[in-house]
Amino acid sequence: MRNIIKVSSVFILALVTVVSVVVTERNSRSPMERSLNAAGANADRTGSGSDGIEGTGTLSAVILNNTHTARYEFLACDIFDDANIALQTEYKEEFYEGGCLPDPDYMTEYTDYQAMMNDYPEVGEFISSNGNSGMTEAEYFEFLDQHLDEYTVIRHPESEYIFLRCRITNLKDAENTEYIGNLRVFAMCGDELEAVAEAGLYFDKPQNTEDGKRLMEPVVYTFKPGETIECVVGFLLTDYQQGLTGDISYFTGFEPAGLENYSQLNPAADKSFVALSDLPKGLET
Amino acid sequence: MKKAILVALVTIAVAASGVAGFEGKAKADGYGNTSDTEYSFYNMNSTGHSVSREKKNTSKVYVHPTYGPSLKYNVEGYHKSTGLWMDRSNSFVIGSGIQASITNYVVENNEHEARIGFVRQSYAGVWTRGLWSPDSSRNYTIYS
Repeated sequence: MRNIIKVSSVFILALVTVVSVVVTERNSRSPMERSLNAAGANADRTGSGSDGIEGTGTLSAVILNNTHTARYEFLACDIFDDANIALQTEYKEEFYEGGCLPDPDYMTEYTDYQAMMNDYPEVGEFISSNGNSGMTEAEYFEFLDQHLDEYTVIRHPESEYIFLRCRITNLKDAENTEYIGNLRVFAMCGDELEAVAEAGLYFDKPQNTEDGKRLMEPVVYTFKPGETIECVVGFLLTDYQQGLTGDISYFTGFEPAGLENYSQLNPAADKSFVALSDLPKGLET
Repeated sequence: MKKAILVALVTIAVAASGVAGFEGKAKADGYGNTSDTEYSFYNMNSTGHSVSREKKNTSKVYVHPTYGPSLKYNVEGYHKSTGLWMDRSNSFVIGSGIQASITNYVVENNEHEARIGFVRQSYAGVWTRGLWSPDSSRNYTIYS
């Protein structure tokens, strides 16, 4: 009888233990899930007015970086074109790359290599073969010395200056250097990618400065464990030949690891990206 | 407890794996995109590539492996009209410590996004890491 009681007690104890573990695991959330829920990742992104972030009164959109070590909450967005960038005063000169305001009239050389290759097939063969046939490299450079100017124009590329106000949180319990410069803005015309910009034009939390001005270096920030910063990151978006025409939609996010082709990107349907049109204007917040 | 540790280890492994792996810093430059970005490649994969970056001029692509086994590198350009990444340089095995300047024809082909491709040279459960930039302001060891 005693043995039966002992065995039964052990069995019941084991059963209770197993049930407790199952229930606990079912109810537990990963750090990522807790982080997203805390940031209001399920908040309405269509502007219904619900607060995604406690205490701010501002609708936000949230993504994680590719290594899931930082959370990015996008709070506001401003977009200026060449005509307006020089007129705005919100974004300070010292936080542009090199501490200099962008020149809205900057000029760049454009060479029509396609026309060159059509006119000189041996040059086309050299370029198409990555320098392996058609002519020697020395002959190619000599050709460019003689003819490059005929196919080159200098003009100003149509540009958009995009500023994102972000709240970035280090999700690690240790110091973490986050390469904020990996953030991208994608300009889509329907399903087609028109242009991509890297974060680098502007960053108002530089940790390296000279005479109070941001240095010419990548957008990087070393976070303390669990630290959160609010910052503004700027992008310069240009389309090299056609100009940014058509019905362009802008999205921000990170290029997915292992992405084979941009044609695989579908930012409008992928919650890893945030539509800039969903964000309030920065100067209004 | 063991299950929690197992879940944590799996999470770390998933976060660390991948063809392109870890990403690094990037910045646009008005005259050339010359700031260095980190890349990494896990040598249990056969091939891979870096994230893409804007290429602004016809200068050579800079690659500087700093750690790990040698890889074969080449430069790829994004051809917008076809949506394909095209080989725009020859391929070279470059070992750790070498600062390489790779001749390429990305911009000549009217392409403005570049990335570097990796081909494994030796199978191993270790990472190869380094720095690269799509444009450069000077040449190092030239690979044509």
